[in-house]
Amino acid sequence: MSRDTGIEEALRRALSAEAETVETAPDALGAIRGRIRARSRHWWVPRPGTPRGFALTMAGAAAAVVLTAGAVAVATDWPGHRGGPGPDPGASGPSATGTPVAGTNLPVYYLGPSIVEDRLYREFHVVPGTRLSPEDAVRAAVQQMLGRPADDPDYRNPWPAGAKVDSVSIDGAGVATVDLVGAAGGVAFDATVDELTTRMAVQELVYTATAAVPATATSIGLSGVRLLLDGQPATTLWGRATVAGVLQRAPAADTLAPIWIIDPQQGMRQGRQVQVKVAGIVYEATMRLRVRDGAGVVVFDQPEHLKPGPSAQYEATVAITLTPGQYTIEGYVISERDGSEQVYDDHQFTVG
Amino acid sequence: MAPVAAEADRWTADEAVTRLFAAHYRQLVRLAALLLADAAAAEEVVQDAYVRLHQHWWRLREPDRALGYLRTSVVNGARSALRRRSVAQRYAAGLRPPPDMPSAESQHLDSVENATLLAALRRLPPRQRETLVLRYYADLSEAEIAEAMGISRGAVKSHAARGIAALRQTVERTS
Repeated sequence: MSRDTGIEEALRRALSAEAETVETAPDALGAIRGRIRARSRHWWVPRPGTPRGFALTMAGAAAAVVLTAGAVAVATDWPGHRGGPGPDPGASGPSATGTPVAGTNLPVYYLGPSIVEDRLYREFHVVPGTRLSPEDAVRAAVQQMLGRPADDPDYRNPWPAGAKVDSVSIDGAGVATVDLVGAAGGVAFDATVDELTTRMAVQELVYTATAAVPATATSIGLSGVRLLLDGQPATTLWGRATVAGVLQRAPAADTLAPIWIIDPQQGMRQGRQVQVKVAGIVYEATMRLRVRDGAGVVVFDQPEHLKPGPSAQYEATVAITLTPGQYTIEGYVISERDGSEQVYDDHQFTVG
Repeated sequence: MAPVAAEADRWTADEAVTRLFAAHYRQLVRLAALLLADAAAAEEVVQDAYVRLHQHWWRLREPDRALGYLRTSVVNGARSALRRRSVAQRYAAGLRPPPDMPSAESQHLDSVENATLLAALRRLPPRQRETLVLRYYADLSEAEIAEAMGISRGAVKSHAARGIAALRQTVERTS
């Protein structure tokens, strides 16, 4: 095999050979028909033991474990907290409040894989304009969420392609009414999403919108979101989640990914002194950080004890000196149960 | 995978399940098995996709997209199954040792190389792994992969490029 040019062909052969070893059960069609019959008899009750039911059970168990960390409240965001992929990323650092950027740095949430189910991760995106009104900030942040793919390709936006913000208004109680067009789904789209994804999509919207207008000394920030779809108050989303009335942030422990790599962001280029910042809601607030170089060799690996930060998540900051090159940073925990690694978030970045 | 026949729009839900089972079940199970590294869980995921197809058949206005629907269901089902800890742990640990091969040395070398590649594939981030399996096993186009995974075509390209680069590094390291 020519390793430079033949890797794709080799992968094709390996997958084909592996697939050939998989055979199906002798009466699979009978099993499917039996499940269809059982479902039509009991369509009104949840099916115990189904993947969905089990996933929900596992989600509950994970949330219970997370809660024992005692690190949860209502998450807050702080636009401008760090540089992000702005016009001058090299000048950014942790807590770089006041670093001038040609625009406004807004937090934008996406879904990303976690061990049990997809959870929310956050990126900072620079949008044009400074001193945005609260309405414009919400509009810009939600439009980023809907229209711009996440920098980290592991994250995704589950809303329909082409969905847009039509208008945003904010009432005296701090409730933002967000009118979306092209977001209502439809028969074909609805069939591709499940309840968990829909609930997380709603929280993705609520977290992003409310994060755009943080509480300050003179303002309470946003308390919730009212969703309109194509100008009409929404009652259900994609046939799977109730969205009537004012939507509020669900508890961080049930919604946010257990570990976020905050700095460096995905795809960032920076100097040799790398300020790493992580946030998490993990058991006993302890996680591990690992950095691999471009060849996959581990150049840094140590435990980090997270401390309370300005949000619901606990945080840690560590400085690492690296030589120029490509790196991947991974946040992970060691399973209490069996000692296995559970990697939650990773970002690739460049030094030099 | 062959396209679904045009007469599909006249099938009842039961007929649709029967015909689509005959045409695609085994390949979908193999696809799920590659995504999950767990043949038993793969059958469960694919059977669930057929049950959902039966449930939604009357609403599928474009029956010729039934295979696309099944693929998307399988990819989503595999993701959900992998998120469950037990499957995820089996996945991480689950690469079978290279099978005992006949004496021919070239075959033996191939199997070792296959095992190395598959092990490296299983260590990739989930989206990269899905993209490579859909492209190099299922032979799907970028548009079909984007549809099955619910992501943009640009993201498919990016996942594929990063995944292949990572595999190449692994193979070079082990050579």
